[in-house]
Amino acid sequence: MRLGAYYWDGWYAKIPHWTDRLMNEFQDREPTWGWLGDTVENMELQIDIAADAGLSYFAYDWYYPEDGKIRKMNDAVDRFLKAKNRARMNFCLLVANHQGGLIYRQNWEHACELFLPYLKNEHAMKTKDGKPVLIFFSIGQLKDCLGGEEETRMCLEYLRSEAKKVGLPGVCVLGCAGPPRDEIGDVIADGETWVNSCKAVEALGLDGITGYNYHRSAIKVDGKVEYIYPYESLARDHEIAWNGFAKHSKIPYMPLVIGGWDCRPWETVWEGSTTPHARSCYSPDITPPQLYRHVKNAGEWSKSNQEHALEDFAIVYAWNENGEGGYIEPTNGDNGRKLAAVKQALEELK
Amino acid sequence: MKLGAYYYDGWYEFRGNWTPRLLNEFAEREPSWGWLGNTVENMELQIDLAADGGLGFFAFDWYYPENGGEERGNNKCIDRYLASKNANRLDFCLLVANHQGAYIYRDKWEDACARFMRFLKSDHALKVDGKPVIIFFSTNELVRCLGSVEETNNCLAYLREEAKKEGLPGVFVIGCAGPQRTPDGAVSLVKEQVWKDWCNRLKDIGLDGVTGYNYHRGAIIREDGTKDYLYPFEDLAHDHEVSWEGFINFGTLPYMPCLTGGWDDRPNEKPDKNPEKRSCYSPDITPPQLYHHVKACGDFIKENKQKITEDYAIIYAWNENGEGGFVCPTIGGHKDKLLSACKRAVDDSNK
Repeated sequence: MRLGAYYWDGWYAKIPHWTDRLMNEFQDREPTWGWLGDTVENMELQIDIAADAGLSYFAYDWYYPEDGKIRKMNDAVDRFLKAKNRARMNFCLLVANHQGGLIYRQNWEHACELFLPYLKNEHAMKTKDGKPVLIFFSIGQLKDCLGGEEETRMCLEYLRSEAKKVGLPGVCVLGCAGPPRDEIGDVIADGETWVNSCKAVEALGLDGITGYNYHRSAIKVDGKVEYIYPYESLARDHEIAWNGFAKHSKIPYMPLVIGGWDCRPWETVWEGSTTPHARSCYSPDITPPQLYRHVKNAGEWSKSNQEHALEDFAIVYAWNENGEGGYIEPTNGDNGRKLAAVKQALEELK
Repeated sequence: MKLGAYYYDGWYEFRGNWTPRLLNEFAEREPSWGWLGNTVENMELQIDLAADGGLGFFAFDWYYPENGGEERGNNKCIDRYLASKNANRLDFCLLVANHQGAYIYRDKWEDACARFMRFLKSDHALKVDGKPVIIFFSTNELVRCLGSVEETNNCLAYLREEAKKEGLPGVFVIGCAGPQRTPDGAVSLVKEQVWKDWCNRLKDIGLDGVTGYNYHRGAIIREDGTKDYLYPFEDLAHDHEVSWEGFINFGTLPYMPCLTGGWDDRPNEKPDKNPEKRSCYSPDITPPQLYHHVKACGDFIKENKQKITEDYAIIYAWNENGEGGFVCPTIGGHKDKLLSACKRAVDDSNK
């Protein structure tokens, strides 16, 4: 299995993501190299650590300059491309087309122009037919901002034709989609809602589906709302989703592995943001053996669902979403044990 | 506020406490000095860390040799403490772990008292009104093994008399007791009479004070009868804080508040072999949460001065790393931040 990881570069400078809670309450999440990771040398270190653990690629969170200003967070991918050891991994973009990074119809051609240098790069992650991969964070925003299903299909065709003009065989465009849930927040395993949601995704002209993470908002039990949620259940929700997409989607699915979710550090008011994140279910009980089993399950799913899987690719949320609690990079708190668990699973899947 | 901590010496040599799950799945719980801690030099280090971390005493878990023979290796930590150059930085007492394997039956009581005496006489003994403190893990087992409430009174009187023969003014005997709970497992003050009856019983058996080892929850029992186990630390701490209220409101004996430094016994659970043997676990503990819990205790002591054992409180635990109650610094997880949270809270409480 070729496992990649989402790379979110909120760590290039001390910015509002470094909340009071993150700094005081969750210091165990500090990467082993420190909170700052803003140099090419540091990227080289991270590439070595990730490649040594068996990761195949990074999917860099990349933001379209909706307001005309290129975000510093996009620099991570450029640091990767300057790294001496970049050949140890591939990369792709996760186009974070959410608020602040939305791509409206009038900007689509410009966005494609910005994508192309990455798609053309020799280190781009590619499918076996040579198409570089591009992932969109929100298929809902993709469709709405481009003006509907038909316009989205046309825009994606435009992107593919632009790629062909520069000698590529096309682009493998993936969209993130989640599983349907019932009224109390449980993931639905099967049924009409799955059929309908997969049809809606397919109508956009994507080449495949994956996800960013499938975290849960709340648990409603015995008339109360609760938030603490076993990691085992969170991982199971993802595994149910893999099977749902395998059964109902006509386009390939790239399994999403969950490296954790615990967004408590951002559930606070802090300098630079007066609007705290809403509470969401958090899974503080994740252990390396649990992560090992989950990665192993993804590899086994991939082998037994070859006709539904996007080759043998999978992706984990995330390398370094330390604020949201999805991280497998080595930290002061875990001393690299989660990453070692991922490595062990990947080696056994070979 | 003088905050002590239970010290469990399961770490003097490699044995069953180091379960495969503890070593593999919860390796971050390894103390900063390593898993083994069996030298006087190591105890000196721990005393310095604890004293610098705002702690005022250790309550060492001590086991009576129920089956005769030598005392358990677990008891030797106290001798290491007494041999430490810096022992004067902390007081100490025994937590007599009178549970399975270490029961003290009636015919052994005099022998047990003789063993207690050298600790009670120590210059470093924790004292209340000049009387050295001794804590019993289980008041129910104390009474059961001694035979009756009356016999327990007699036995505790004997202990005090023996202490007086040694020139002490007596012994301050504290028993651990748990709170009342609702059918779903949460601590509750609703059943006042049950609380009162329970507290009266503790007085009747001849104790001088009450505390607890920890008040962890067995399970969260849902309305449909299903059980859940993942339990926010905030709720676990709240259960302890409600318990303080219960023992103060309904009891007449002085109470030493029992704080929780966490509970997460997964390293000792075997989901494949024994799936039913589980308890609620709280892996979401953070240093600020612990700070608030300790600070709440400091405030509680100030508000209830007359009913508290001096200004003492005790936290579970210094090093119950297997059961998930530990404030000692570790190689991973929160490292030394739980201890520094204790320190700040104690300092703020004593301002």
